[in-house]
Amino acid sequence: MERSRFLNRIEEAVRADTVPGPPDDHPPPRVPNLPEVDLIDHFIEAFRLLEGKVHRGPPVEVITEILADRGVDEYVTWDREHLLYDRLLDELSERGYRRVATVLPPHPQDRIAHQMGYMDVEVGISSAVAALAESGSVVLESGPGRSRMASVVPAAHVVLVPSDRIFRSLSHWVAQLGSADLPANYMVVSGPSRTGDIELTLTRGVHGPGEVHAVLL
Amino acid sequence: MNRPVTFRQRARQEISTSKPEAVGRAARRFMGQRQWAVDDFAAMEETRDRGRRIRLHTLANLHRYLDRFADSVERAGGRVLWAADAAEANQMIGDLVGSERSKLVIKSKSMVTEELELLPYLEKQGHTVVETDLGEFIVQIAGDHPSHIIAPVMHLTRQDVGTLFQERLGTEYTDDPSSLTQMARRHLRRYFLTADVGISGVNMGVAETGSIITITNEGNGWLTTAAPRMHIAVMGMERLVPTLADAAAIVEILARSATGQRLSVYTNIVTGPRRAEDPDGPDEMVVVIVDNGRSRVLGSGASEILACIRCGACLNVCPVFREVGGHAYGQVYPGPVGAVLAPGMAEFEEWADLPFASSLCGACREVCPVRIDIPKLLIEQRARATAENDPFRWMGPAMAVYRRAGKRPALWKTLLGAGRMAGRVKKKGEWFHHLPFHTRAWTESRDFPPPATRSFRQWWKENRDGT
Repeated sequence: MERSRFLNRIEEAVRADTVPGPPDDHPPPRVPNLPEVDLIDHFIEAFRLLEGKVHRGPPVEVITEILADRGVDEYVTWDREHLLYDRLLDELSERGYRRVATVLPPHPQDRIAHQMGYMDVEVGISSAVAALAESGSVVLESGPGRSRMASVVPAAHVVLVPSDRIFRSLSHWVAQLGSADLPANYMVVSGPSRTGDIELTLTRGVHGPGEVHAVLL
Repeated sequence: MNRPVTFRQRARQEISTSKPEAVGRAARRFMGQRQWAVDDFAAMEETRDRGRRIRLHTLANLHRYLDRFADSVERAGGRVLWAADAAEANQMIGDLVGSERSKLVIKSKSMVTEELELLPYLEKQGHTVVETDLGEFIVQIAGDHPSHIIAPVMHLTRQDVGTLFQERLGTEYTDDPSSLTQMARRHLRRYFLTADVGISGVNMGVAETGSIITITNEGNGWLTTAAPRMHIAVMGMERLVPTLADAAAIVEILARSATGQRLSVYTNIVTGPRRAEDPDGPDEMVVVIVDNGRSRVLGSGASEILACIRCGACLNVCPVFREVGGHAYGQVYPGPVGAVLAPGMAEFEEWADLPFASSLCGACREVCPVRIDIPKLLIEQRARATAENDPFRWMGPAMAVYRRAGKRPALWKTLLGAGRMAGRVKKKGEWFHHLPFHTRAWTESRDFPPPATRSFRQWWKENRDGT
């Protein structure tokens, strides 16, 4: 249906004035009224409640251990300037670990062959633009050098979290975003991938990472 | 959807299976988890009030916000299509998927695509469509229908799923949910990485930014919107809020009400296709906005139901839903919300019995995160059903007989005597399971006690001296 006809039909329905409440009652933006907490402590507690693992050591040590635990030597990640710790990739390559490419090839027909390269990647590394204390979430932003697949495809996701960018809640983070155009994707991740579809029994690692590690910096 | 039976008949059919037991158990668990999450959030009540105002304000200005939303989507590089009904939506999506060859389509969970019956449509066009939400995947390989808007296979046990996987995927039998989940992960991985098109639903569109928000726990929604070359987001036209701040408020009450989580694992905010410099993401992003009866509801007395944010709490708390399960409602949206929505969206008469599938206890209103007065809407739907086709037409003549008999003591006594005679066909303590004619409806769902073997007058005569 044409846009104008579609909208006219709705306007007519709206004119019938059947929606309860005054039509111009758009509540002004306001963040929820929550008790004050230590943001870092609260984030750590909430993140752990989701069965995420919190680390405070040097990122390269944490990541090396995760790679070694799984017995793998390759990982997917973002470009160095977008990782909070810019020596990370050098240090990993010095130790013999290999980075799997995340940039899509220019021709669409090569896309699937490229993506099949993710089939066996077990570890992905990315950086949060923000973290949320209330829900133990990390916020990932897509953009140049910042692949989405690097965070969602692997079985284990390591996210570097800037401890000075922890917000009280989702609403608090949104409130300071401003009016700039949004990136193609903001992903708010709250713990490991999980499902309760079979008898509501909680199971980790369905399609996203079953393990999520936060390295606080 | 073919619907050969009434709610009452479907309910009876469902009760005879093991499904309602599984549903009741799961629903009670959901409610326990919800209570934890509600108590946990100091701002729950104020956010519910806020959420209600946001949703009602959006509905009252829906044409303006949809107009703005479409502009914003286009500004971000996406496209918008407008589908008046299911047939048009399916055709549009079919055209987008393309017909030059058979495509692989992955789908994340979406109630509106269930409503459109999109999956069979695309399959008929020769495409392969794979449901990726674990529950929906199970529904798909079982050839079943979802029974709950959040937990589609609430009606199946782990043994059912184990047997199903064994039969359909050729895996070794297990009833361990964790092993079954890993089997599904392995099975679906290749589909995610090789799909041509990803189809998602939309939990919320944001008018100001042109974003669509999808909320999942498994990560399938994220993969569906990130891996394939084309992302098609199918959105019920009322699933909109004005700003991202409004969306955040709704998200904060949605997961708590639905599954008792503070936030679902993945709150995915997608704004257009990938930008020129982005390393990955879809090259094309299209939002298909679907009416399919919604404008009819918007212009009716039931418009408030469109404020629903699809958390499923009203299902979980409903004593009727817990007993009969989702399939008894016979269409996509079960429970109290479905009992208002279905007759409003489709042909009223076809679903006019659903508003009666409620005890009007009000529990749904208590838990609704945006405080929709569902019992009031149910009563109004009942009034409409009764006005259009009064099942109690016989009540008037019956009351006339009663009035006449009440004024004539001899006739009254005779009638009572006849009633007592009828009661004697039953042994002491035995109830009627089947009554004839218009009173039959009573015994369709409960028994009827036999009349006392002697009248109150007789009893009084014998006991008036009070010994």
